[in-house]
Amino acid sequence: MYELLYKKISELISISEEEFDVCKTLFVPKKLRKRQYLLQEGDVCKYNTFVSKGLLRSYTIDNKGTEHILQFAFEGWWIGDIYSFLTEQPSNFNIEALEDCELLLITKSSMDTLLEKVPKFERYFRILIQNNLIATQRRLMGTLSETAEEKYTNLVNNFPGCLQRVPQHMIASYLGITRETLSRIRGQMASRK
Amino acid sequence: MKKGAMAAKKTIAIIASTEQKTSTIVNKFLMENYRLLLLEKEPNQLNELSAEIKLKHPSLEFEIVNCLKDGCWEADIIILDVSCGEQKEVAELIKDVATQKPVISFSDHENIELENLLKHSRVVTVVNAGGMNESSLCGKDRDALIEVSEILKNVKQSIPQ
Repeated sequence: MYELLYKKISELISISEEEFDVCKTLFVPKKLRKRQYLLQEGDVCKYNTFVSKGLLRSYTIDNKGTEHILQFAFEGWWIGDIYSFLTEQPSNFNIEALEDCELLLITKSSMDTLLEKVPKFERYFRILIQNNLIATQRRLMGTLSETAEEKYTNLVNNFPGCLQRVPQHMIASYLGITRETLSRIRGQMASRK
Repeated sequence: MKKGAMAAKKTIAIIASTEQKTSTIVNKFLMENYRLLLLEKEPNQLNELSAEIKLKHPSLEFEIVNCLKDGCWEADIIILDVSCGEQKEVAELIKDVATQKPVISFSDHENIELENLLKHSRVVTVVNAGGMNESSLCGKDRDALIEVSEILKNVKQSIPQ
């Protein structure tokens, strides 16, 4: 249940068994089935979520009913709505399981307790936030300036497993392109090989 | 999923000693805004109850699960109504997946033993002084007490007077 979390934490900070035991007592272990929701629009996002197993997506729906996918979260990733989590305001996001998932959830107060009891986690979460900011910046620049082909190529290079696990229409939504454009790009790339 | 849809449904796992006790709890927590997992310790223990619920409450979302650990792992809230003798065994099975979850037990006094067995869960005892409308809540976690209080308030509203 906690093996991947331990591995990911240890990549960024040195943590003893006792310190990790403290950490474990503050997470909520949660199994979520495919198509179930971790968060729905209008809920307050009470948890920051670590993905031990499975795949989720977070998305919004605009006034025309069109879905816009913000991110996917694979094993070892974190997912949540940081605005709603920190301000306790209703979220604009939906977070849905695309596969059966095993998750570890932590509330804001449990996170505060963790930081108090094991101060080295300040560094861990600071690095997570830095990485998130870099990824967000890159995604924004990609959206503003990359061609559809470049977006697709970057996605495939950075997340090779996603093509097998994420439905095509969701990949198109994530890239901000139509399904037809995605099919055309994939066809062109296949014929070049 | 449409804009402005209802909040994500919470899942309640129910572990009780007998089918009758499970039935009593299901009828107490008969709310369409929860998903119920009825956990059976022996296979086919809850077959009759399952048929009864489908007949009497067709819109209730529920499932029979025959693994206590898996059911509690999926649950957001756990309800436990087992004898003192069974409590230790059940707690041992579920403690790793019940961390930080509200665990509701029913008793005529605060269930200190369960609080010690499930040290990292948020145990709330519903102390029944004289019928369901006169219950009081005991527990160490303020947020869990508030959450359980909300559940019981909805129960009173959903039962015809």
